[in-house]
Amino acid sequence: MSIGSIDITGLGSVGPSGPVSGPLRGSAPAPTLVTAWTTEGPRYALLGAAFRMADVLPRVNTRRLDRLSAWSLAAAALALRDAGLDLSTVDGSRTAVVSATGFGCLSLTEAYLGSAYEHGWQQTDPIYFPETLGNAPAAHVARVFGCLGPNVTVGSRGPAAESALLMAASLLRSGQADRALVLAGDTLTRGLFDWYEAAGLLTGDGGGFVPSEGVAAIVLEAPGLRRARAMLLDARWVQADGGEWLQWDAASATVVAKAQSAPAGLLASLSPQARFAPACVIADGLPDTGGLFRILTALGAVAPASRLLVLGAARSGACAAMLLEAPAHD
Amino acid sequence: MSEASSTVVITGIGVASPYGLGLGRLEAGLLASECRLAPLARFSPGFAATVAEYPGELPATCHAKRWFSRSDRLAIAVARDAVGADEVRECGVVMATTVAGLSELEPQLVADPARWYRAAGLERAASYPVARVAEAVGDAVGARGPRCAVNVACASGAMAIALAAQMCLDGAAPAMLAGGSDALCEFTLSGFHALQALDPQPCRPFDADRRGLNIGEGAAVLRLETLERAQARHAPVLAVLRGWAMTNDGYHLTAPHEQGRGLATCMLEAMRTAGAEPDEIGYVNAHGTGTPLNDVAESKAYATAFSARRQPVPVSSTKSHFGHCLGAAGALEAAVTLIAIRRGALFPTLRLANPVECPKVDWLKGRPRHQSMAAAMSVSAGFGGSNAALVFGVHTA
Repeated sequence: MSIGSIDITGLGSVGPSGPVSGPLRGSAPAPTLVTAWTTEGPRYALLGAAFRMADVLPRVNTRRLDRLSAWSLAAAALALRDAGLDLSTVDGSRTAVVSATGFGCLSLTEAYLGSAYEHGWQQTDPIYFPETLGNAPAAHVARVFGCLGPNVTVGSRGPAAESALLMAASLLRSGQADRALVLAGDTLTRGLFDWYEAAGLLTGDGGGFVPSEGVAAIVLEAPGLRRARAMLLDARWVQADGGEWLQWDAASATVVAKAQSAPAGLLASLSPQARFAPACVIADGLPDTGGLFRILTALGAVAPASRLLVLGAARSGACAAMLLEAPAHD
Repeated sequence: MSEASSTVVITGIGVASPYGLGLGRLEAGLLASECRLAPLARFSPGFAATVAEYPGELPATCHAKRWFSRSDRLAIAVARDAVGADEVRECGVVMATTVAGLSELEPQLVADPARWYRAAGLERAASYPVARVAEAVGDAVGARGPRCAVNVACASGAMAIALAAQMCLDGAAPAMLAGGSDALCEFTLSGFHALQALDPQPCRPFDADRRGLNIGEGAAVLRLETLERAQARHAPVLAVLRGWAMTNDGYHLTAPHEQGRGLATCMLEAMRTAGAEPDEIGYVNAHGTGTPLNDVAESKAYATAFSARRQPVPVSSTKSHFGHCLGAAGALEAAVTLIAIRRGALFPTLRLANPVECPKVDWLKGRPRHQSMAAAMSVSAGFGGSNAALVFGVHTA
């Protein structure tokens, strides 16, 4: 089956706001002082809120999984719950999983390196190794939910989440799948935090870059099957010249087009009444994979029937662009 | 949509294999049935294959202050080879890798990350994300289209090609550079060693007495575009990517489905999208790692996928020549499959004395066999249960 338009039928997330089924609504979580490890001064981060996995996903053992894998399972379960979709009742070979991650399964990668540090490369832990693979989260989602269609894990500097969404939409449009679970996220570890510190990105006043962690999930399906959280009217790559051409200017609350030849058509197509989506501090702390959190936040804030232009700019100048429409009635 | 605009063709290939740099080296090595597996110098016991000619020199377009991992450097070398002197500003890039800059991380990092970064590691660690390989390629050749990394274990390389082909058809970019790159490193060697998956001797894929795999390293990049665009710019068409498919076993993180369920579905779907009957496939370049579990599941998948075939399908694993190149494997083996089509050469599985039983498969062994074919398939699978199959065909002008 090849479909023309696509519905977003389920949203779910795990992160600083805890486990959420549906859009992200309400006040944004506040950064907290990092105390889990020694820092060079007071440092802030948006760490994932603790939750019982059994409350989200009963009867699934996640004890030995990397946090990214466990959170991906939880986010997928929450998005499926939001969609009212039981994957065991549909043809699993027609269900795709597209996952985006910037840093992969960092916790167990560090643990694996730790076992090499402690015992040498020839005495490493066989349990850790396969769980360090970047596609382990998507693989566990496929195994637990019976998703036997295309299973892809992507990375991209900047718009990794948007890339995953575009690829999933393409799989549906080209008839390679009937539905897709799209996941995007990363976890924060001491190793990554220290890298941000060494790179000079962190400040002691909680301003500037505040790293975060979490996984967001979106269910894509053919239209008309169930209640839609939004309609994905268009999703495509837009070529732009001039490198990083879009920049959010917080002071003036405007988008700055840095290059004259930026995809002006896109920006010009915005009506004068266009509003910018509320800031999403979770997404801001995920350099490559915050895109889905932005969408979940925006869909929690927009009025019924409004249209949402989602842009994710890459260093190369290419831009992932999506046009969404919220349903007339929530 | 016209047939030319809905047909994806290959108009360039760059390869860094254990035979050296260039498609010609790979072809000559395969035709000579030369085994490039050698005893490991820095990790024993075991055999592995490395790219003998280290492509250390970087083009001027590469940022001088940036750290380029070995996977980056291999990828840059083959991408430049695939592009030649052409202008590729509008191209997109999809690069597969499993290692990326993992090769640059040392175990000391975890003891005191801040100290390790200060001492030497800040830029080295910045090469860790898989996205860096696609960035390195895009920057080096000046490709300004979408850039994406694919990280699906050993199926990554084939999936990168499949996804890039779809992006071509979607109009994401007028042409795509797609492939994979992975360097040999302690992290992966120790991982497969810990899993007891390494053969201490040169591997014997599909042999009843097989004991495991050998790791290799390498990179390959294919230049993909629509036939319509290739014809418009009078580019040489090396082959047609007739069809592709991706599936997942949904079964186990490290073990394939015992009956090869997902892989069989994948091959059938790839043939369907290629419009190719099973009898039309003249050669299958197998995943064929040499591990006990993979090879038996894969042979069962062939039995299912080619059950309608009148004659057994010729199958071989060229991992017996140069090892398992992980994230680059699917792209390198796509290059091998293209050579098979263009030269009418069927490459054997080396050291295959006692093949596993599969009546639907003609296990290639001994010396290369010469036989023309209309289509050939490259098959990949990986940890996480992912499978990918690519069907290539001859281009007839």
